[in-house]
This record gives sequence, C-alpha cells and structure tokens, in this order.
Amino acid sequence: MTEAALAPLQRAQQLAGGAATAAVVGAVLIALGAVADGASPALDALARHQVTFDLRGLLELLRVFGLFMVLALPSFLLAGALLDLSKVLDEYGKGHFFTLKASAGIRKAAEGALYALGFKIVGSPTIYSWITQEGRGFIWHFEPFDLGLIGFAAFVAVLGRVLEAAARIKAENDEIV
Amino acid sequence: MIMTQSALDPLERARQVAAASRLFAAIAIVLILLNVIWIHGVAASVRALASLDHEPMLGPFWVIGAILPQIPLALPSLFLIGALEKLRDALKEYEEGRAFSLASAHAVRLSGQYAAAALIAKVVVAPIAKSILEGRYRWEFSYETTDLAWFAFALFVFALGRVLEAASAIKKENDEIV
Repeated sequence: MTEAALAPLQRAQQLAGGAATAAVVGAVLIALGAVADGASPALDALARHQVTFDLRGLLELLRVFGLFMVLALPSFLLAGALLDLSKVLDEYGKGHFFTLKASAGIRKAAEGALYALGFKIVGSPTIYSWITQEGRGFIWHFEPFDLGLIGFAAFVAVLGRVLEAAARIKAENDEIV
Repeated sequence: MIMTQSALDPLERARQVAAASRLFAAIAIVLILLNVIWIHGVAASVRALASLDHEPMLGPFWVIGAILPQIPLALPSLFLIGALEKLRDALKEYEEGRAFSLASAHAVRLSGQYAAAALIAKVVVAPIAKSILEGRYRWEFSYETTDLAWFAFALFVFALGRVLEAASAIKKENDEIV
C-alpha cells in the first residue's frame, strides 16, 4: 500500500526534472517574444524621430528604450515567474517536495504572475500613454479572462503560503525530533 | 513552544487569505459568467433577431441556430469558471484548516486541468470556431506570448495537485497505521 502511495510521488519527481528544463525554455521563449513584440514599435519610433548625437537625441533614445521596456515588462515579469517555477520543479526533481525553498518559490512565482497581470492590465497601458503623451489619465486594458487569471494566480500564491507554513512546521518538528 | 506559535501564525494568516481569496474567486466567477451571457447570449440573440426581420421564414430556430455556435467561443471563459470553482473548493478546505486533505488536493489538480483546457480553448478552439462562423474555414490560432506562461502555470498546478494527492494518500495511510 505504501509502495502504491509512493509511486505517484516518484512519477511526479521524474516529471519535475524534465518540466524544470521546459520551464526555462518557456521563459527564454517568452522573453524573446517580448523583445520581438516590443522592438518593432520602438524601432518605428526611432525611424520617425531621427536620433541625433546631442542631448535631444539621447533623450529620444531613452524615450524609445522606455517605450520598449513598458511594452515588454509584463512578459519579462512572467518569464521571471516561470524561472521561479523552474526552481521549484528542480527541487521536486530532487525529491524535496515540502521544503521551505520549494514552497517559497511557488509563492514568489505566483506573485510575479500577479505583478505581470497588474502591469498588463493597467501599468503598461497607462505608462505608455504618459510617455507617448497620448493621454494623462489611467488606462485599463481589461478582459474578463484576465480576471480569471488573477484569481488563478492569487490561488497559487495562497497555496504557496499554505505550503510555506506547513514546511516551517515540518522543519520545526524535525528539529525537535 | 514559542517557535511552534511562530510557525503556526503563517498557517493562520494563510487561512485568512484563503477566505478572502474564496470571496474574490466568487466575484470573478459572477463577472465572467455575466460577460459570457452578455456577449454570447444577449448580443448574439439581438443580432439573430435583427436578421430575423429580413428572413421571417426561418422562424425562431434561426435564433437558436445563432446562439448554439457561440458555445465554442464561450468555452475559454466556461473552462476558466470551472477552474475558479474548483479553486473555491480547495480554498474552502484551506479555510477550514484541512490543507492536506485528499479533497483539497483533488480540487487543486482539477483546477489545473480546467485552466489548461481554458488556454487550449482560447488559443485553438475559439479562433477556429470563429473562422468557421465567419465563413473563412481556416485553421486560425489566437496566440499571445504570455499564453505559454499561463499554460505552464496551469500544468504546474495540475502536477502540484498530483503531488498533494500522493502526499495526502501517504498521510492517510500513516494515520491509519498509527
């Protein structure tokens, strides 16, 4: 019976090792995708306003780089969250399922995803409009699907907190024993 | 003893956060459902009724025929509602202090499954259904870079659910032995 109960855990351990690599590849792909998506508006802006070798040109260059960063930031944050997940999966691959490191990694990954959603919905559109001087107010690009993703990411953060607390209690018990 | 109290505090905080998150998940479900009803129910019916003026011979079946194809378009939202509903089940268990029960682990796994299905429906099913509805009959995909990350997240939650299921099975067995 114990063998039967342990088998899924061993399978999860084997899967986690491969999934950690997949998560890193995913993070790299997302970062590259963000660079590709963000570079074209930035390059357009560069083409429209010729960059000169003076203070004005430098400011223009900074503005274009700022635009690129604002557009790419949500994806970079998500890529960071995936890297956190890959660390968790790496721990799982070693068979350390309920360690403080793995549990904190889950919470951090979920919080990164929440920040990414925050920037995607309100941060990036607002800052973009401020930089391009199209508007000065707060701009929302909100879809109901995003609301579901916020709920999902918030839940993963809660799960991370619960596991973190459990790992603390387990560590304390181990110390006492 | 002081150490134990300090270790238990985060668990208590997590329970409080779980209660708040459960409420947020309920609000999210209602909002997504209202959006689905509005876009895929009311708006589709209004469009169908408007076209009924020009083709009165088709009768009310035309309205049903206009709403039924909306179902694949609504699938991503419906799956996401399923994921959030399962999350609520898991959060309820957490709120009641049963963090490592089989029921909560099962709900976590199902939530990951539904979320992965929602993303597949968003990227593949809904765009193809839309292309058929609009008469283009092409393989179309609606892919954003971030979808990959969310899909990985959903799969991770699914895998975590499996780990928790296995852990709770071991715990149950240990409890039985003791």
